[in-house]
Amino acid sequence: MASLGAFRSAHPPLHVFVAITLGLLVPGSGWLLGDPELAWSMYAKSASFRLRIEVARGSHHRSVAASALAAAATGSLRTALGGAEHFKFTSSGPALRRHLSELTQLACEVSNADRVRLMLDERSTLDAPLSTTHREATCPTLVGSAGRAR
Amino acid sequence: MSDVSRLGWSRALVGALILLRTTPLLASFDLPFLRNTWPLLGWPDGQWTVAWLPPVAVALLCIVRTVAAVCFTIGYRARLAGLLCSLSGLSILIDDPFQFVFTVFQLYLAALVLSLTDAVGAFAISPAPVRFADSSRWLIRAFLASIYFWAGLYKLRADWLDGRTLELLQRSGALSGRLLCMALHSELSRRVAAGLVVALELSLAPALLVRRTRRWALLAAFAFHAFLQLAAAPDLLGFGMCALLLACWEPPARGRPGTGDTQLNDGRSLRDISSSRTSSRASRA
Repeated sequence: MASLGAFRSAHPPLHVFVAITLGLLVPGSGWLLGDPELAWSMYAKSASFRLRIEVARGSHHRSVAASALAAAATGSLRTALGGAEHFKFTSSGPALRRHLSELTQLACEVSNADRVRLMLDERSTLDAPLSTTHREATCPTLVGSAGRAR
Repeated sequence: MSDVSRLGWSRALVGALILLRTTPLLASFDLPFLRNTWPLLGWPDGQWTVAWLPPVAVALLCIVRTVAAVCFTIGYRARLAGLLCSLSGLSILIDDPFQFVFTVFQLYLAALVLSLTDAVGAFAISPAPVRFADSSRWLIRAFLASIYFWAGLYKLRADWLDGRTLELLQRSGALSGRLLCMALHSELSRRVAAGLVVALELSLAPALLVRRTRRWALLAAFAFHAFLQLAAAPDLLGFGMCALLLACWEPPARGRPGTGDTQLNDGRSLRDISSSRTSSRASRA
């Protein structure tokens, strides 16, 4: 009890709050949510992902390369999507999964299709099983400004 | 250099690193990780983005971050400047998660931590009063210890410990350089290196917090980052970590004889108080 009192008098509450938040809560939340980005996982990741895109216009179905989406995207997203039609060893998988619904808009814009289907295959480590996330969307008639920088 | 001065130096270094990492100041060196810093890191380019903030707001945040980083570095209203710099930078990262880079994230959090400590009370144009120097160093140590702990914990998995991740990083070019290629040339050496890195990171966390082992932990951490920076050049992360480690360095004994720089219980030295009073007199004048 005495040492706890000494600790309290030596450290202002703000310092203790910041230490707990930045030292435990922020990295711990990333760890628990399966996205190690906030848990100081730099230069240690072996995660990989692949993005498959299928589009349909009328009865005609075809595949679109993720790199085609990259060409229309902003710099940071371009890096994530470039070459993602094949498995990529980068840590952008969880972020792409969270924004997969929005990416359907970009796929609509790029492909000029009626319907798009995005499939994100991910492995969190070299030994982890493959997990796939799907998103489908019907493209709006006017897609010229869909998803553009707002 | 007194304990509080080291805090101030640490703040100035972190501020300078933020400026170097988020502006085109080093563009002439054509470093791969600095190619997207024109006109400022995170500046909207009008292309398709998942960001929800309007481009004007993002551009404004970039400007605020840069101006605040300058003020934070020189110590002009450093507490406010550090908070503005880190929060505007973090807002840009949260807005567009594809911009997430560990070095930048670490620097923003370092600015946030330092702005809430007595690092704003030394080596500054307008130093704030020094109040909790010991607690300030404790907070920085706790932040550093958490980074090492989580980094080590994340590596406790089969594909890191058997060296396959190191091989993967080596093949992808993320780890390059002759020194590193020599060190990681065989499966056994990669396995040993992977184990050593985990052991070092997991032991640095408690060793930084315990007074008896702190000095050795700091020396080991400086050596670790120096080796990584020389061998693999991992962005500016090593510099950011060393800037914080500098703040944790403690002299072997308090009240160093012959220096005329007597240390007080709160970590300030008489020289700090003298300079602080001089600057406050100057500001009143």
